This record gives sequence, C-alpha cells and structure tokens, in this order.
Amino acid sequence: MMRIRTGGVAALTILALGVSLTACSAGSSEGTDSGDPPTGLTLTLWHPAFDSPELLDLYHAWEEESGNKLDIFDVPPPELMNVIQTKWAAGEKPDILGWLGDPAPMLALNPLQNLQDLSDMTFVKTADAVALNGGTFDDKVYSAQLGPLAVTGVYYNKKVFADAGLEAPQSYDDLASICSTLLGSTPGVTPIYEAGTTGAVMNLASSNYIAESNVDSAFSDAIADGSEKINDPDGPIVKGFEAYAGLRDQGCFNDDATTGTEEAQAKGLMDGSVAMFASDTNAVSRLDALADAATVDATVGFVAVSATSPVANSHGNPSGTLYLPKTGDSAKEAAARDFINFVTGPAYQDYLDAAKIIPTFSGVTTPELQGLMQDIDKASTDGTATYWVGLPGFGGGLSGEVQKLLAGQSTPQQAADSVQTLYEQAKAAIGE
Amino acid sequence: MTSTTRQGRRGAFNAPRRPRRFHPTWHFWFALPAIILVLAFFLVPFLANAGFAFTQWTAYSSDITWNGFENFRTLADLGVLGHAVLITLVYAAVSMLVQNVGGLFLANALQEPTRVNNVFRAVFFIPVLVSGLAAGYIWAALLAAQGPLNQFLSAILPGGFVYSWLGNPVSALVAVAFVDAWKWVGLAMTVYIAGLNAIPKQLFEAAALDGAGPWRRFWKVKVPLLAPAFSFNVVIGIVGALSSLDIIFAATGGGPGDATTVLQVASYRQYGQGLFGTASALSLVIAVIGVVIAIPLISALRRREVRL
Repeated sequence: MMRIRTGGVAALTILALGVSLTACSAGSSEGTDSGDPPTGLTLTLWHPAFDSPELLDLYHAWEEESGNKLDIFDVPPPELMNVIQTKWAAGEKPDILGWLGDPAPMLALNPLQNLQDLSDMTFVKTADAVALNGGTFDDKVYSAQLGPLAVTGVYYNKKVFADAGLEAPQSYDDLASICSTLLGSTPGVTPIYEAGTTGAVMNLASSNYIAESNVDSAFSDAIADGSEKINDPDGPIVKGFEAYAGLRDQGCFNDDATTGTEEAQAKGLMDGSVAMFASDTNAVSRLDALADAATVDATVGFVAVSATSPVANSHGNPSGTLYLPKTGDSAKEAAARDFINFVTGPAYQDYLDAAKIIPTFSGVTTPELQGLMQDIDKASTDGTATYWVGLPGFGGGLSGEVQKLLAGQSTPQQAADSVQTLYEQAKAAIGE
Repeated sequence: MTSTTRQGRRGAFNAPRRPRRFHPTWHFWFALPAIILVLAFFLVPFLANAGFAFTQWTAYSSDITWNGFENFRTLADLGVLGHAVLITLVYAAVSMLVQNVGGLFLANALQEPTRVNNVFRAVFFIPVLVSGLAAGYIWAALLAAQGPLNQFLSAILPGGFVYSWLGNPVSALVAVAFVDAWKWVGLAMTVYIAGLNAIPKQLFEAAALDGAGPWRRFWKVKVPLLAPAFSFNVVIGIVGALSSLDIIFAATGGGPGDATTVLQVASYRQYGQGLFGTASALSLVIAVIGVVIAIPLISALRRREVRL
C-alpha cells in the first residue's frame, strides 16, 4: 500500500485520478510452488517488443502446457522505461513483467513493496551469478533472467581492419590509435559509429571503460559505501568521459553522431563504411537482420575493450528478464510462478536450442552458437566479466548526460557531477 | 435600451403581484455535465499536480512526503530547470512568429474564395489534422543528413551539401520550432482569412481612392483591423507551443544532448526515471509560465483592439 505521511498529501492523492491506490494494494500470496498450479486463467504479460520469436514461442508453450492464457502487451523499445513507469505509477500492474535486468531500474519498481520474492524458486539454484545479481536486492531475488546476458564490447569490421593492417582493440588507447590510423589511411570509413539517439552511447562513454574498475563490483561498492564518488576527478567515470570526449574531438565518430541510430550503425559495419561500434549482445540480432549468420560471422568480430585491458562488461538483458508483480490475486500469482518454473525449467533447453543463445542457467547444454556469439561468449569468459554499476539513478540519467557530452554541451566533469546529483537524488528517494 | 428597462421596471411595479417562482437549480442541471468534466479532467488534475510538485514522490518508495521547494532546487542544481525554461521560450517565440507571419501571408494570398484557392487552403490546412508524432517523424526523415532535403540541396548546390539539421543544437531547435509552425500555420491562415473577410471592402476602396498603394493599404487598413484575429493567433500560438511535446519527441527526442529539451520533454524524462515529484514540478512551471505570459498578453492585445 502506498503510504502517505501527511493529511494534505493524502487529500492530493485522492484527488489524483491517475493514482490508483487500490492497485498498489498488498495481500500478495507470496506463494510457494507447492500444489497444483491453477488453470483456466488469463494472465497479463508486458514485455519489450523486441523480444525474439523464439522467446514468444516459449511463452506460448506455457499456455499450451498450463491451460492458461497470456494477454501480451508489447512495449515499444525506445519508450520501455517511460511506458512501464507511467502505467506502474498509475497503479496498473501485469501478472508478469519483462523489464530491464539491472538493479538500478529494478529499484525504480520498489521491489520490496511491489514484486514477488522469487528466492525460494528452483531456478535460483542454477542461475548464473551475474544474472542472479542483476535481480537481487536486499538478499532477495526478484527476477529470472533467461538470457543471454548483455555483454558490452566493440564490434569491428574484419576486412576494414585487415586492409589497414590493424589488430582488434583491447583498450581505449588502442581505440584512439586505430582511429588515427583509419582517419589517415581510409578517409571514407567512419572509425567509430555512435548512435546518439539511443542509450547505447553509455557503452563507449562509460560501461566499457569502467569494466576493469568494477571487477567483483569493486567500483559500485565503493560508491555505495561512500569511499568514492561518481564525480571524483580521477575516478573511472570522469576518466571514461574524458576518453570519450577525446575520441569525439579526434574526429573518430560519425558526422551525425548525435542523431545516429543503431540500425544505421549495423548497416555501416556490414557494408564496411564503419570500422567499429560499441554495443552489447543485442546488436547481433540487428546484424543478423541484414545478412545470413555465416556472412555476419565472416564480416564482423567482437572484442572486450576496457580502460587499459580487455575486460567485458555484462549486465542484465531487458529481453527475457521476468519479474512477478504483487497483484493481490493469489491464484494469478501462483500461475505466474508456475510460468517462471516452466520457462526456466522443462522448456528452457528447447528455447536455447531454438534461439541459439548463451544460457544463464547451469545444467543445460549450450547450443551450437553463431560465430559472432561465440566471440561474445569468449570475451565474457576470457576477460573477467564484470557487472554493470547497479546504482540507483544510474540508468536513464546517465545516458542523457552522455548525450549532452557527445553534443559538446557539457564537459566530462560537468557530466559526472550531474550523474552524482542524480545518484544522490535517487538514493534520497529510496531513503538511504 | 434604457427606456425599455425603465418601462419594464415600471410595468412590473404596476402589474398585479403574482407569486414569484424561482428555479434556482434548473439552470445548474444543464451546466452540471460541463462542470463535472472540467472538475474531473482539468481542475482536479491541475490542483493535484500543483500539490505533488512540492512532494517527494518517486517510484523508489511508496511514501509521499512534503519536501517544500526541494524538487525545484534539485532541478536547478541539475541545470534542467533554467535550461528547459529558456529552450521552451525560444521554441514558443520562434514557432509563434513563423506561424503568424506564414499564416498572414497565406491568408492574403488565398483570401479570395476561388476554386484554386480553396484547394490550396485545404492543402495548407492538412498538417493541422496530422498527428504531432507523425509530423515529427516525417520531418526527422526529411531533415536527416542523407535525407531528401539535403539531396535536393546537393543537386542544386555546387560541391554537394551534407548537414545534420537535427544534429546541431541551434539548427535543431529552430527546425523543430519551424515544424511546429508548419503544423499549425493552416489554422492561423484560416483565422486570418476570416478576419480579412470581415473587413468592409469599402475601406480598401476609400484608401485606394485616397492614393494608398497595396503596401500602405495592408499596413494601415488590414493589419489594424485584423487585431482580434491577431490576438487569437498569437495567444493560441504561444500557449500551444509552450505545451508542445509530440513533435519534438518524435523529431529529436529532446536532443541533440538537451538542445530541444523543452519543459514538457524534461518533465516526461523525469517521469520516465520514476521521479514523479520533479516531473510534477516541471509541469507546474509550464502552467505558471502559460498564465504569466497569456494573461498580460491577452490583456494588452484586447486593449489594443479597443483603441483601434
């Protein structure tokens, strides 16, 4: 139940038609998995519209298996956070929610109050540590991540690199050096394509750079305990922003970086007009949409790149990350838990085999992966895969600040100062 | 009027007294649906939003607590408030100006109700009916670095032409304001045509006989007598632009960086981050700016109409 501390605010809340208190009501069963699961129900499922057909097939397989129905609501990807937050704030909740797989956006759902605790479910015993970490808060597990994890790194065009006699990058100095070579030797090729209209700008400006500082969550823990600040002038956030601004000033990015799109990014890499871009695992599907897998594998490579060494950064994937909101309907909550048991249990291997992805649970057989996906798997296991900084206020706010940095509207220090303020704002909201 | 009133009063005084029957609630019932709609969909949300602007209300917690001006302070610290206000005012001014100059020009060109003019009137009115999101997406494609506009310019200019209209902070802001003006210029044109048609033709004939040329007749006869239309178009143009979201959202998403982040976009972003209190604070700022601009403006324009 939403709690209101003063009478005045209570009156306002009653006035606000959009805020349905009843929808926030508790009374969740927090059920166990014992007993026969209910059948003949219709459950609502909100999910990102970019979920793969194989994932949707998995969901539909549960319908056939359980005798229940899913009322599926597709959320357009660019507005995933806004759409879900808006509906959530208005008191509307689905029975199953596909949402971002990181602690920061999870905290924005107020999990303690609004989400079922899944800690006692079977999948938790076999879940990958990174995937589990992404859905854990206060020692309670709130999400099941079907994978693959989003591993961030750098995609590069093999032919462009071979023609220029270049090796794949491992550090930000390498990126600057490769950029310099390409600008001199192949002026028709954009060294690095930035999709400035999307949150993907965070990859090069921050996620990749801080990976080696955040092994075993060292950096995020230091921020959380106050021993370091996001805007420390010598900290990895400011240094990452400086490296990013350096690449921008060097002319490494596309001319239309601020309006660039991920679709143009993928197209440019495939046709050789772009040498590199920084992105996560989800870029494979965009590349695969342009050519068959064999052609993509022959054209594109993937490597981990961090500040000075090849450390990959893993984080939860919005596709296939599932939460179970408390709805107050114990039958539907039990059916939703049955859904989680099904998609993480007996049907998971079929899903892996169909989607050909890297699993996030042990005890299953990894399918034969596409070559590029194998590169990603290798990068995340060779380098120490580290977890994205899961601090509150670190998601949408960070991408906005990087977009300003890319447009030259702020300095690296100013951008980091703003992110620090956003973090403090979110921390205060949580009550820390 | 005065004598009628006096007669009426006298008549009433001399008439035999009849019991007066009042139906105090009779008119109220007709007004009730409208009152309910205004209360439910305007007044209550507005008051609630105004209240929430002074609370700590976020997605992170179920508690809503008063926090005074803290939301405004946070937005100011982040540089969001001042920047968004400035961008909003520039956007509204450019949009209103282009909309009115364009509308007045088109109204003059298409005033006569000929068949050709009617076709063009309809053509220029179509954007008013197009959704703001569609308009934004269409113009984003037209203005893309490799888009049709640059291709056309490349064809007629020596050496080709490549420019990211929506990638530069200044040109992006001007461009989205132009798109807003493009969308609403048909409405301004229609209002100006109505205003022009209400001016007696004899005034133009008299001015022409007195030796006034077309330019002089325009400035000395048409423009002053268009004052009511001018008042309507200016106020609607500014207030509409102050609350613009869809066109900007589709065309630039508030970028590059925050170059086109008007108050509505800034509010939407805060909301998307689960920061509902600060989002409400920005919405309140929009309402306050609207009132602060609209009331003196309407007052000044109405005084001008009376003088004329």
